Amino acid sequence: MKVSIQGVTKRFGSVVAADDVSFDIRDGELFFLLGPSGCGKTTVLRLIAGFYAPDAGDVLFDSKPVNDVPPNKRNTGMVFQNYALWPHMTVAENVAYGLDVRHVARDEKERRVRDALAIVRMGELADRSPTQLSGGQQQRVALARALVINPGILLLDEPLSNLDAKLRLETREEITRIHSETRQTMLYVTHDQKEALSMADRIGVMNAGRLVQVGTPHEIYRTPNSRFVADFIGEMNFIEGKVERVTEAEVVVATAYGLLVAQASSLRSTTDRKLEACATVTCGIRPEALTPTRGGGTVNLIHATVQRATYLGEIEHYTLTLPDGQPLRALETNPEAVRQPGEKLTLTVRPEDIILLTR
Amino acid sequence: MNPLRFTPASAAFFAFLAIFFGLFLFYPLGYMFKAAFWPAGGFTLESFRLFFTSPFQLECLRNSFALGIVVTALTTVITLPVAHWFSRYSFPGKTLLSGLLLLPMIMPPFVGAIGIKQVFARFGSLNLLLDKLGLVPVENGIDWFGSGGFWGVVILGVLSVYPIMFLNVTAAMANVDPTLREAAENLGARGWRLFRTITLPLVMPGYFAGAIIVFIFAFTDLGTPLLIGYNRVVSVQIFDKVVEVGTNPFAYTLVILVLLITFVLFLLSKWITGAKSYQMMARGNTAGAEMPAPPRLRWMIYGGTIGLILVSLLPHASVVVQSFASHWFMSILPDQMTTQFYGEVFRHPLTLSSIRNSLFFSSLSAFLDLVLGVIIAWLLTRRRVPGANLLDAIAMLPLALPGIVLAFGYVAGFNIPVNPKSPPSAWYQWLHDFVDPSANPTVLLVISYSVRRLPYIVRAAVAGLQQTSVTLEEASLNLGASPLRTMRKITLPLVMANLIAGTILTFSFAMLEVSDSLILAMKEAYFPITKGIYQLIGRVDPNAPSVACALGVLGMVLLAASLLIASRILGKRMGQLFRA
Repeated sequence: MKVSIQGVTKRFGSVVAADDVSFDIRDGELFFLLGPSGCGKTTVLRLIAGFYAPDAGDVLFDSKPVNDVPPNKRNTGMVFQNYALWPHMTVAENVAYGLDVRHVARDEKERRVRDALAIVRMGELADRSPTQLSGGQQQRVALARALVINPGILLLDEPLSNLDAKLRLETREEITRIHSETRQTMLYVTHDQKEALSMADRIGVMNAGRLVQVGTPHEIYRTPNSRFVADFIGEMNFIEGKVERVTEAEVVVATAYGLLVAQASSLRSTTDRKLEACATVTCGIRPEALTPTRGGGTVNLIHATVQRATYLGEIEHYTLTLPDGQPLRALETNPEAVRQPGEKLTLTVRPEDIILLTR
Repeated sequence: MNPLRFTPASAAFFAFLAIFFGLFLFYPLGYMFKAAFWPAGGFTLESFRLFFTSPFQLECLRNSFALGIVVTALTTVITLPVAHWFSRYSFPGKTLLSGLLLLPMIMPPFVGAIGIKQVFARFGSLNLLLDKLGLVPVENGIDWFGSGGFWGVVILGVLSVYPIMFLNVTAAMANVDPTLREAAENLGARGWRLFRTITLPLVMPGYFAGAIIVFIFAFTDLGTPLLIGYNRVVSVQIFDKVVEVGTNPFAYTLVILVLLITFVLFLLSKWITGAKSYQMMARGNTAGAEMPAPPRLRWMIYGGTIGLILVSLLPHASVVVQSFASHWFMSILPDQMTTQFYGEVFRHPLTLSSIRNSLFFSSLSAFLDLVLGVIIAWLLTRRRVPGANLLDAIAMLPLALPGIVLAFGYVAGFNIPVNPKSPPSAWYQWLHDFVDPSANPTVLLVISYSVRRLPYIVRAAVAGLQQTSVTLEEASLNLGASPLRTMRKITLPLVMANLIAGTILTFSFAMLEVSDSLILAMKEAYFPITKGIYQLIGRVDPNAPSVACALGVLGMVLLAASLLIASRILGKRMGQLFRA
C-alpha cells in the first residue's frame, strides 16, 4: 500500500509536533523517519495509525483520504516501542488476536499464526506467556502480531531502543530479511542514524516538527541539504568561507586556512547552482574525507596540530587544532604511525568530498 | 481517536453520569438547602438563629465535635507508632499481624456496643468481677462509659476506625523514598530528628487523608451513640427528626449545618494535603526500605500490636459470647451456653429476611458501583475530556458526605405522598411504590450505599488503569478491534484484580452501612442486617440481644471472608483505597 502525507500539521497545546509535513511512502518500501527525540517523528507515525487526527492536511492510503477512519479500521500493523504485548494472553493468542477480530476461519488462523511465528523464529515459544520472554523475544512476537494481519503498512516505533547492542544488530538484520522476503510496506521511526543508513530504502530526516530532507541513505549522507542534516547524520567539520570563483567544473572557496576547491556537481542537490562570487558558504568535510598527506599539490591542504589521537588499530581518530584555535576532526584508516600530541599535520581532501552549504 | 474530542461513547457516559449525580446527589442536597434557607419561599436564617440560641442544640453540636476531635486524636496516638513499625521493619509474622490489625473493620461499632454494654455496664461483668475480688463493691460500681456514655462511644469508635488511619499512614510511609532518609542520615541526622525533619513532613498528606475520614466518621456516627444511649449529639438528633420530615424545618437546619461543617473540614484537609504534597522528584527503589527489627524492638512491636488487636477485638469477643448466652444477667459470664440463637436467626422472619435483604442490596450496590466506577475511571484516565477535574471532584465528594446527611436528603427529597382518599395517576402511584422509601426503600438504599462507597471503587479502577499501559489498548485498536471489543478483551481483563477487590470492598461496606440503613429502611420487610440488629435490641424479649448478636456474628464471618479475599488480591495496595 502506498501512503501519502500531505501538508500535515499536528499541535499539542502550543507545541507544534508536526509542522506542514509532506512525503510519500511507496508500495513495498522500507521508509525511515529519522530525527532527535521530540522532533515529531512518532507523532507522524501515530497520525498514520490513526491515534491522532491531523489539525491540518491529509493522510492518504492508496490515494484515499483516511482522516476520518478510526484506528481499528485502517489495517495498519504497529510495533510499539514497549512492544505492548498483552500479559494475560499467550504468545500465540497475542498473534491470533488480529485474526480473531477479522473472523478468520480456524484452520487458516492457526496456519497463519504458525507462519508468522516461524518468520520471526518464535515457533517453539507459542504457548509461553509474554512475561516469560526476554526483550528480544518480545520484540519478535510484537513483530509477528503486526505482520500476521497483512497490514497495508507496518509501523515500527523505535522497535530496537529497548534492546542491548548485540541484539539490536541481530534484529536489524532480521527486519531487513523480513522486508526483503515479504516486500511489506514499512515505516520505521528511529533516532539511530546507523539503523537508518544500514536498513532504509529512503530516509526522511525530521527536526523540530519539520521534515528537513528526504532521500536514499547515500543521498542523505553524501549530500545533506542543511547543516542540521549534515551534523545529525555522521560527523562533519564546518569551515566558513567566501566564494572566490565559480566555473563549469569547480567552485573555489577562500577560507581562513587556504583555498578549498569543491566539485561543482556537489552543488546539484545541496544549494542552488548559481552561487555567485563573494557569497558566504560553509564547507562541510567529513572526518574520514580528511587524510594526512606528505605534501604535493597546492589546493585543499589544511595545516593543523594534533591535540589528541585515539588509536583503534584499523583506524585512528584525531582531534586537531587549526591555526586560529578552531577544532578539527579527522580519521585515518590503516594508520602507519601513532601520532603524538603537538605533532604538525598536513591534511588533504578530494574536491568531491567537500559539501557546500548555504544554510 | 482524538483524546480531546468527545466520542459518542464518552458523551453517552457523561450524560448518564450527569443524570445519576444530578438525581441522587445534587437534587437531595439542593432540596435540603432550599428547605433550610427558604422554608416558606422567602430566604430566612430564622431557624439558624433558633439553633444557635438553643443551649440544648449547642450542647449536641459541642458533644459531636468533642467526639470527632477526641477520636481522631486517640486514633493518631495509637496508629502512628504501629504504622511506623510496619513500614520500617520486617519481623516474623508481619503479614499475619497486619491482616489481624484490619479485623475490627468487619463489625460496625454499634454491634460491638451491645456486647460491650454487657461487660462494662453498671452491673456488667467487670464491675461484678471487681466486686467478687473485693476491690469495688458493686453498689458503687465504676461508671466505665464516663460522662453519660461519651467515653464508651469514643473507645468503640477508635477501636473500629483505627484500621483506616493505619492503612493510610503505612501507605504514605511506604511511599517515602528511602534514599531521602538515607541522605539525611548521611548528613548526620538520626532518630527523632530524622523522623521529625524528614519522615513526618513527607507522611503528612497521607495522615491528613486518613484523619479527615476518621473525624467525619466520629462526628456523624449514629449507631454507637444510639445504642450506648448518648443521645445529645447531632446525629441522634437528626435521626429523631426523620419522622417529622416535612413538618419540622429545624431538621433541615441541623443536616445542612453538619454538611457544611464536614465539607469545610474536608476542603481544609484537601488544602493542607495539596499544599504539602511533595512530588517525589527522583523516585528511587522503595524496595529494601524495610530492615529487620532489632530483638528488643521486636518484642515491643509484638507487645504493642498484639495488645492493640486484643483490645480492639474485645467488642467482637463480647458479641460472640453474648450470641451463645442463654441467660446472662448479673453474672460475670453467662450461666448457660447454647447455640439455639443461631437456629433462631434462620427461623425468625425478621433476621432471615434481613440477611436476604442485606445480601441483595449489597450485591446490587456493589454491581452499580462497579459499573459507575469503571466508567468514571475510564473517562478520567483514558479520555482527557473537558470537565475531568470536576468529575474527579464529584466522584470523591461522598467521602465528605456523612451517611445521615445523604439518607436524610433521600427521605426528604423522595417523599412522594399518596392520599388514600383520592387515587393518584398510575405513574404517580408507581413512583410512590417504587421510589418513596416509606413504601419501598430498595432503590434508594442500593443507590445510597453505592454513592457513599463510590470513591473506593473509582480509586481501585483508576489505579488499575494507570498501571496498565495505554499502548496495550492501542495495540488492540491497531489490529482492528473496536473500542468496545478492546475494553472487553484487553482493558477489563488487565484491571480485573483491582475491580474484584474494589467490588468486594464496596459490598462489605454496604453490608456494614448503619446510618443509611437505620434511616431509609422503614418497613420490617425491607430491613437489612444492621437495622435488623437495631430493631431486635429494642425488643423487650430477654433473648433479643442474643439473637441480635448471633446475627452480628454471622455478618462478621461473611465480611471477614470477603475482606480477606480483597486484601489477598490487592496486597499492599489496599491502603491506597482509603485515602481522602
